[in-house]
Parts: sequence; structure tokens; C-alpha cells
Amino acid sequence: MFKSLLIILHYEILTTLRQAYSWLTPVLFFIIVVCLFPLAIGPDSTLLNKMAPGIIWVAALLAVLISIGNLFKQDAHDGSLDSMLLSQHSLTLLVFCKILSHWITHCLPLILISPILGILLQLNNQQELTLIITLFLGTPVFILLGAIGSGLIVGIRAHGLLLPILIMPFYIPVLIFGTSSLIAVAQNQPLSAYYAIMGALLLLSLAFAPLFTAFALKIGVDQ
Amino acid sequence: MKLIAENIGYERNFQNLFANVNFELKKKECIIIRGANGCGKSTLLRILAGLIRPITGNIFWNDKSIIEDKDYQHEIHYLGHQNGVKPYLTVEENIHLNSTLAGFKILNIDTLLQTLNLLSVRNKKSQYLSAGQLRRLAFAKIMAFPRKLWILDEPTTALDTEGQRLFDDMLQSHLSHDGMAIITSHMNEISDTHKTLILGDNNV
Amino acid sequence: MFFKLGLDWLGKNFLSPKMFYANTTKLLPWLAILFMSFFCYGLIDGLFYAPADYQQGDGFRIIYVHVPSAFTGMAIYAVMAVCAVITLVWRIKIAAICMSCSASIGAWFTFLALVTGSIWGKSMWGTWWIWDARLTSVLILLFLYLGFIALQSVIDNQQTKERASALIAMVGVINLPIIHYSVIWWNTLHQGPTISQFAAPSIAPTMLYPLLAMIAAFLFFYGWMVLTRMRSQILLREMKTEWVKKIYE
Repeated sequence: MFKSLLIILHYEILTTLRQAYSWLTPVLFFIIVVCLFPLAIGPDSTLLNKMAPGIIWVAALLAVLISIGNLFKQDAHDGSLDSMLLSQHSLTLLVFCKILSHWITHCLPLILISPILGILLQLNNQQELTLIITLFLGTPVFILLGAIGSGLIVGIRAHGLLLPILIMPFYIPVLIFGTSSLIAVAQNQPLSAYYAIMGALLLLSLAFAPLFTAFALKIGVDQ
Repeated sequence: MKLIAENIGYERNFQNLFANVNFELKKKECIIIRGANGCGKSTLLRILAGLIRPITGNIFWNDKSIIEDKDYQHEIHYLGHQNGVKPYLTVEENIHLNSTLAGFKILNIDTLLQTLNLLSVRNKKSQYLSAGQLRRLAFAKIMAFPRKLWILDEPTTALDTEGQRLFDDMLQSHLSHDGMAIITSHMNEISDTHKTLILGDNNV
Repeated sequence: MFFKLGLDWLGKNFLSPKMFYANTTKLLPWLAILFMSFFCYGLIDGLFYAPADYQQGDGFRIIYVHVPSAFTGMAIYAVMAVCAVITLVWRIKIAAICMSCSASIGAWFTFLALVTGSIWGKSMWGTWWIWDARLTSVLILLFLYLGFIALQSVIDNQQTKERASALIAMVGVINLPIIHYSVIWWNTLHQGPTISQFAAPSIAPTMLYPLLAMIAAFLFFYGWMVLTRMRSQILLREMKTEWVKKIYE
């Protein structure tokens, strides 16, 4: 069974990679948004350093939001969603494969490019490391929670900005702890509490979100 | 082995789509559902596949309600309007993915592709296939591993005469091996010796 | 055992739309009367007779609208969450109707809480808005309500609409404590040593009773409004049945 899930994961990633625009767009969006801020608030280094945690995290959040609504859209369109629903394997596990492939293709590039953006916003070295770790812990939660909303709206054709409006309040805890950890490391405060809380949020989402997403898919398909 | 549909009704936004659909299906039987466009044939098939819950009525597979029977969906092949084919994967990759999803290992993919007349396009991405080829690709999982009940929504759309003959042979073979089938169609090519249900009149 | 008896009685008299409609007809005027009486007592006592706060003077009196509306906004979300669970697990129509009807009432109360909180802030600190834990949490609650209402308005199919919004309400109520505590934590992190609290930790009885009365009044108002809306919804849905046609003969 594990082998089957690996095969399915492989095909999910393959499908996404073959559509270059689908995973390139969030990264480019991330870069552009971050670059807009210095232009908007001025090149003052101290000010940029103070605002950098917020800017990078909000930009990452938005970059995830623009792509998460379409998590199941193509599957619903070509009929493979029905195959998933009728599959031998548990829908929760299949959803987990989809979420994992989405994170690998959409969020890993964000995490890899974030240090460079950190330099643009005058982050120091300690903050860079914390940024990578917290993005690593936080972006999966964004996708896991976004998947629940995305499952609910799977039957709606023109949903527009509905999913961001729906899901954004749930992103607030991760946002708060992610940005605060960067501020804390700049003030040489211990980070263990932040990592612990973000890890806890990640584990909680991992445990419940795929299940809720499977439930949401069954609801959303009932059209 | 039988399927009983009892008093199935569905409504959309307080408007009745169809009501009082009753039929029984046994081994070697095939029922063809006909009706005007928009009368709910596809919805009825999705209800029979367990993807949608009916507003009224119940469906029994071997005397067990399909809502409680977790294994029901593993004993059916459902083919909707769409083909269940991922456009950015090749023909062979699609077959591999669908069989993995269904929990089945295909032993001889070459013979399968040969029968479906897709051998020449096996490494082509499915977005470049014609509608008829896509429909035949959708048949791949139905041919590859046997399941007792087939629920097919307009299976012969976009197929040329070759393809339709292929489908007829598939269906006949399935029925003769104790299979059951529920098909919607507006084509008269499918033999009229099967049971017919007309939605809107509810006659069998 | 009494719990089961109570549930049976509830089920027999309120579960089906027809019984619900019949049995709530007499409730409505009572709810309206209770609301009016508590409202009048609370307002008059609170605005005129309760002593002025030693710190804030007469400006604190807005507490008599702000706290009840915030409380009611949160209480309504809790009711929606319970209805959501009932809708998802037992598929009971009445619960789904209650949930949909409560949403906009709850949203308005939350909005009222924000506006009155902002007016209070203006009189206390001179700014129309302050990012403290309480106001920010209420703002997020408003977003949750708006998301729920938005989801309901986008989905066409009735069955899907009820179950999808039920799920989002349930996910919302599970996340709400996490969001609330993270906002409190965020606030203490960014706050300086000056901490501002809205309600005093111990409140004099002469100030408390009108407050409790106003909370009760708002809750009765909610009950009155939601039952009225549920009854219209039931009539709309059961439009084609016999008993509805009889009512309009």
C-alpha cells in the first residue's frame, strides 16, 4: 500500500511539474510582492529589517493562497476526482499525497528563495536560519488548512476570492508565531518555545486536516 | 448478486429532478436509462455509484444498503461524462495511475493497449489525443480488471464505429460472465433486448 | 435518563419542520416580551441609575451595549457550531436551518460590538481603533462569520450548501481558541508595560445587574429573531406540502 501511495505521489508531482506555470507563479508572486515593499516604504535599512518578518510571511501566505484554491480543480474537471473517491485506498491518504505533492512543488521553492529575499530586506544571518526553519514548519500548515477549504469549494465554478476570505483567519496563529520568532531571534531570545508551538500546530494539522479535507471533498462533490 | 433501487428521488434547489425510480438488476442483466437532456440521468448514475446521496429512497447491493456497505464502491466501475484521464500524463502513465488508484496491478499492458487500439500513442500526453482515443483510454481500467457492476454514463459518445464495436464486445463479454451494467445512452446502437428505464416516465 | 426523556420530547415536538412551526408559534410573543422587559430595565438602570465609574466617568456606560453584543456574537457562533455538528453527523434539517439563519444575526452583533468598542476606545484613549487582544479577536470572529455567509451565498445546491457551511463553522470553532490565544500572546509581545483592560476585574453589583439584564435581553432578541427567520425558511422549503397550503388558505 505504501508503494501505491508513492506511485500516486510520483504522478501528482509529475503532473504539476509538467505545467510549469502552476508552480512558478507562486514563487514569482512571492518575489514580486517582497520587492514591492522597499519601493513602497523606502530603502531605510533599519526600518526594512524591522518590517522584514511581517513582509516575508505575508507574502508567503498570499503566494500559498493564490494557488491552494485550485488544488482539486483539475481533478474535478477531468474526472480523476471520481477515481479518487471510488478508489481502493482511503481518501484521507490520497488527499495527504496531494497535499504533500502540492507542498513540495509550490512551497519548497518559496523556502529555498526566502534567504535571498531576506538579504533584500536586511535580515541578519541568525534571522535567515530562523526564517527557513519557521517557513518549513509553517507553510505545510497553510496548505493543510487551505486544502479543507479547497475541498469544500470543489464543485463551485467561479469561486473567485472566496477561499482566501474563508481560510485567512485560520492562518493567523502561524503568521503570529512565525513573525514573532524572527523578531525574538533578533533580540537574542530563546527560540525553543516558538519552534515547539509551530511544531505543535503542524502536528495537529497533519493529524486532522487530511481527514477533514476528505470529508469536505465528499460534501463538495455532492452536487 | 443483485442491485435494488427503491424509490430514488432527487431534487435540486427545491425543484424535483426525478422521483419514484425503482428497478432491480440481476446477473447478466443490463439496464439502459434514457430520457431527455437535463432530466437527471447523470445524477441518477452518480447516486447509484454512491457519489451523491439521494433525497429519498435507498439502494441495496446484495440486500445491504450502499450507504453502510463500505465495499460497494470497490465492486463497481464508474465512468462519468469525463474520462478520468489526466491531460499532462501519457497514455501509459494514466493507465498505471488509474490501476494503482484502483488497487490493481496490470500484468500485460501491451495487450491492453493493443485491444484499445492505443498502442501507437502510448507515449503521447493525453491532452493531445482525440476525443475518441480519450474515451477508449477511459475504458482501459474497465477492461483491465473485472468488477461485477458497470455504471457507465454515455460510454459511446465520441466513438467511431470501430470503437462502438469494441464497446459492444466488451459489454457482451462482461454480461455473459455474470456481470451487470447500468448505462445511459441516447444511441440506438446498443441492443434493444436490454431493459430500459425512461426517466420522466419511470417505466421499466 | 431525564436527558434521554428530554431529547425524546425535543425530537417529537421540534424535529420535523411541521412540528417545529406549530410548536414555536406560541413562543414568539413570549420571547419578544421578555426581550423588551429586560432591555428596558437594563438600559434605564444602566444609563441613568448605575453610578458613574470613578475612572472613566459616564463614558463607560457604553459597556451596556458593547459587552452584551460581544457576548451574544460569541454565543451565536457557539450555537452555530453545535448546529453544524448536528447537521454533519445526524443530518437534521432543523439544525441546518438554525445555523443558516443565525449567521447574519451573529455577524451584526459582532459588528455592533466592534463599533461600540471603537467608540469606547475613542472616549478612553482618543483613537478610533486600537489593536488590543479583545478587539482583534472580535474582528477575527467577524471574518469567520463573513466567510461563512460568503460560502453560503456562492453554493447553489441546498444540500451541499448546508453541509459545506457546517464544516467551515465546525473548523472555525475548533480554530477559534487557537486564534484567540495566539492573538492574546501577540498582544502581550508587542505591548509595552502599559496594559489596558476593558472591564474592571471586579464590578460593583449596581453596575453588574443592568449588564446581566442587557445580556439576557440580547439573547432573547436573538431567540426571537432566529425563530422568526427559521419559521419563514420552513414555510419556504415546505411550500408544496399540505400543511403549508392550509395555513395560507
